[in-house]
Amino acid sequence: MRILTDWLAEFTEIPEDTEELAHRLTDIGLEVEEVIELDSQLENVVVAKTLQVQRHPERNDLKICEISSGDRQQQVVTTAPGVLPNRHYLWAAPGAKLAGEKIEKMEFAGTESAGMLCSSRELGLTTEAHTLLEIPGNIPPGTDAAEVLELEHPLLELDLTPNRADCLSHLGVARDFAAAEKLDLKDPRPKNISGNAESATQINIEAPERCWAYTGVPIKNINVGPANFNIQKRILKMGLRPLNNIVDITNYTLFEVGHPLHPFDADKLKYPVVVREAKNNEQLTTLDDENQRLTEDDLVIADSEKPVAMAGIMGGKSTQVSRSTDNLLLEGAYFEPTGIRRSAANHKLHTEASHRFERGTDSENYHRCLARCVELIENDAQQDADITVCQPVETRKKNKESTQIFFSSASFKKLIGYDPGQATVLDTFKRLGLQTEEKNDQLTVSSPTWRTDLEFEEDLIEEIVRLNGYEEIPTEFPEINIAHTPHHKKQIEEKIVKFLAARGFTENINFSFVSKDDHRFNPGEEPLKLSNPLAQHQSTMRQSLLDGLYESLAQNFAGGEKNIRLFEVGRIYPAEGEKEPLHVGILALGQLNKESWDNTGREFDFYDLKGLVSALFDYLGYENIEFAPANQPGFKRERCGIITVENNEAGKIGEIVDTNIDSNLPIWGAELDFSKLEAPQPTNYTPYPDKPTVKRDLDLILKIDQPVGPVKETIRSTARWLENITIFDFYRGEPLASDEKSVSFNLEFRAEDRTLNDSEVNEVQDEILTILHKKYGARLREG
Amino acid sequence: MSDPLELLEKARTEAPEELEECSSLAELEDFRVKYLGRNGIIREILSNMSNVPPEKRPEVGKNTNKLKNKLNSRFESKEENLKKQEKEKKKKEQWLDVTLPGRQTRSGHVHPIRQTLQEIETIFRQMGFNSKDGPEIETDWYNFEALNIPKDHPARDMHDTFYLEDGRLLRTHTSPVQIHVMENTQPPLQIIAPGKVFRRDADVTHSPMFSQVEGLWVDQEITFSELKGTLELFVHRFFSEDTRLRFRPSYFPFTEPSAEIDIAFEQPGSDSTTWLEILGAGMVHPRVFEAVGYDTDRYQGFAFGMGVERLAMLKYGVDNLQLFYENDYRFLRQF
Repeated sequence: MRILTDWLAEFTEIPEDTEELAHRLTDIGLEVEEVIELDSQLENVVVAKTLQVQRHPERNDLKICEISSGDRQQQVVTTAPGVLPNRHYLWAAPGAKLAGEKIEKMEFAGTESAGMLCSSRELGLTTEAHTLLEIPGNIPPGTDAAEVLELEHPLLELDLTPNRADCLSHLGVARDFAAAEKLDLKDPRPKNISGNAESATQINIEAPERCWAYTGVPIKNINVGPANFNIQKRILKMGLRPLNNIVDITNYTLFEVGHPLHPFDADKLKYPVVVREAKNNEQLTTLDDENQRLTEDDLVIADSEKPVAMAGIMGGKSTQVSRSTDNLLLEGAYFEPTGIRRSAANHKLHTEASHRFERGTDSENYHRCLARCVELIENDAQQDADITVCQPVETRKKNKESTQIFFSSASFKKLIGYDPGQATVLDTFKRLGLQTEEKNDQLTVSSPTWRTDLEFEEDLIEEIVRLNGYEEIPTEFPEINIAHTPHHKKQIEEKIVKFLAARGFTENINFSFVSKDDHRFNPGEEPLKLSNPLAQHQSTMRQSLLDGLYESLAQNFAGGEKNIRLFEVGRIYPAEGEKEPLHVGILALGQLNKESWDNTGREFDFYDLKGLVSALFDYLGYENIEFAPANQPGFKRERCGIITVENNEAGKIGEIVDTNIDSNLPIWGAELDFSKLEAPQPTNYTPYPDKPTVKRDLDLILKIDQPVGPVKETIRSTARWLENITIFDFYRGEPLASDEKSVSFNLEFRAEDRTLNDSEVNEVQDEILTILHKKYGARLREG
Repeated sequence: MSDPLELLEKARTEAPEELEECSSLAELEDFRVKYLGRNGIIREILSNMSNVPPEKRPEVGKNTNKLKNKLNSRFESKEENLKKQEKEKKKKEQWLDVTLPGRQTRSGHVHPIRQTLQEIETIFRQMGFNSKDGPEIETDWYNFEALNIPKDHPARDMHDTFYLEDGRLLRTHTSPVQIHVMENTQPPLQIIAPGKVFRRDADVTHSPMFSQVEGLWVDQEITFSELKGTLELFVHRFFSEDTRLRFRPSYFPFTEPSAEIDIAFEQPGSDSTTWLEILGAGMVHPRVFEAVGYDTDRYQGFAFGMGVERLAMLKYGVDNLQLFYENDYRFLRQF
């Protein structure tokens, strides 16, 4: 919310240095996000009078204006509708600065324009505007815009927390600031609404839980026109476009006192006015020209025929105040917060009014705001002597229950850690307008009507801390009396990261959501969908880490990286089965090592990846890591397989289908799933054997398409005393037949209790060969 | 059978020349075998002495021995010379250029967000906090209701929430882990919960996914003073001992009193101090304890939460949040 420093200063004393003010407000929990210096944004913008306004000969949407800025005449072209002769506007001359940007000479459809005439948006004040900002005729041409708009006072942009509804106005901020700084609050109470003229106004509340009280002030014989320029200026600086005196004054009162009011064109209402829940499918066109289809969740102000406003959110078009309005019904009411919030959210509306009502307004004292509004309307320069304020019509169904909170210094000390002393406590409460009653060691505290956020003793404790400063609280370190419990999953995760980074892989963190067109590694599995994604490419929850990693690989490749090693450790979000399992994704492309002067380089291949994955599981303490051929979606056929660890599915590995980077080299990928694996048991040391091993080499000739894995497995499972088996050579070509290959195994035998002799091992070897021959047609290679 | 006399004569002229011409230890060895070896010429002369007329034997014997001694001594010095030469040669051959590059494997990198998380966790673990985690897809209860953020409460505006079509949501903060842990554990407890969180917000300073670390310490007498002490210790360890902190009032529905914590950041080249918000914290709201069934008369405690990206940006001088999730090598390889 914006706060104008000059407006704030009307209610309490503020430091001259605005940065200091911002700092002190932030210190009491009213965070100042930004100090805005409006005058630094404008240069060389002055008042100019339009002497003549003509339509552009070629383009209907353009007007050519002869203007005078006092000492000289110029020609300016504008697209703004409604520009009239003999009016005063703000003119940005060529070379002027507007919202920080320099204005040059321009040309519109062949007509030269010396700078431009400005709307409030171009001046950097509002976000929307389509007409020019008109300046009163008594301000002479040539006057500087900063002077006209009084831009020398900085604005504060406050980021208020939702509990501080009481500070959503200048008076509210001044009240809290004065309490904190021990200053007086200048509180010029408006005179009570004195109207005693009778009116035919009738008001009924039919939804007393949602509308506790409703006051209508009928005002007769009003004139609607532009508001007093002083009011317009403030409205502008609050970021709104001035509309007319009535609307501007209601908004002005809102920003000043904080309670939203609403003006109706009384002649468009058919009494009685009723506050009720809408009927399903009732319709209402709101002030923003939207047609709202209402439900029972919506609270409306209706007349005897139809809804005329969405209570506390936005008025209706049919009863809008316009230039032709003669009689007014000014609404002040209390609407219950959660209903307003639900209704506004359902209709995706967020207005100055709903923002305040849903945070909680002052249910008992909104009359003050009404009185201020009536006072401003009565004093408005547009009004004639026959303006008549009638007797307010008030219906009240419910009052705020006065909440009494018990407070004791002991509670404060127990929660915060020190005793502020009773005097400080009482003084703080008094400054905040809290009523206290002392009994024994306990205070009974009741909060003022504008503080709807104080409910618990903790809330009062916070007020004391807030106003006396957090630096008053001593700093201590607690005694630790909690045992440490290791987090095994996290330990494994960290080991994986360390291992892969040490092996040359770079960690990625990709978004957990991907496009619905991704998921090529999980076709046929319906992903979890976001109902409100930010973008289509982030609309479903990932089911594989490889989608994101491939995207990252593709982008890095496009950026010139030709040798890429990536990994990610993170959760995936399948719709079925295990919730959020931890996966590890790995991708590799390009040369194994960096280029070397001795030409020993080669490409990273499948066996590099397989070795890496095996070593990773081994490093983590897993045993029995197996790979078996099996086609996987997203991987090339016959070029991939599955990984099992200790007989549990643990992932997939192989060559990824390259969908868009055209690298000419295979992209190797693996995705490991740790969700089905038990955490490895901590090591239990066993003495290592001290008997020597006997080594044998077997050069076997196998059919060329015989996978080596099962052969190795057969040897392992048949051979007695076999401790270790490695493959140390692999050969195809002459003198072997073209459908043959030779694979060389090295076997190490060891008995735990004695040294094996040759003949024992020969026997085992013969046995192996017989079985391998039977099973695979394998034979020993001669010579 | 050669004539020893002829042999001797020939050897006396040729052997010294041959010896002189040896240019390697291998040639020298050949020479030694030829003349001085077990079947060498000297030996041959001596063993064939019977072919020499008896009157010439003493002279031949004498001359042969003379030649043998001469060759032996020259051989030794020659050998010494050659050994020296070969050693020199070998030394030259074996010279290693340590400035040639090694065969380089690729270097990997741990993501800066993970490095920051690890550092944060280490500091808190040293203070006795245990790490916990919870689901990233949450229900309304854990993410909001149990944390005293009822439906239709404006505090929900502080969280732009992603919803799944099945009604669940992506957690907007790590605070739901507090609820999971408290539902399953009785005090005392002292935990941190690092993890990913999601908000429907993307601009220069926001990412729809980012990381937080939540902290919670509940016991019978944990105070705000101790919250200050804990966070001050953290900030001093994470940044430096002389980093200044500022606690200022704020609002979170699940803590009361609540505070935001800024650290002083000295602008390089200017003497002005900027305060940067890095943490939110407060004393756990009694409604939260009620939601998990804790006895509010007996237990109290504090909770805090911090955005990891902000800390990483300060730590590494990164000025653009988006870089963390673009996964560009040119960025990641710097860490």
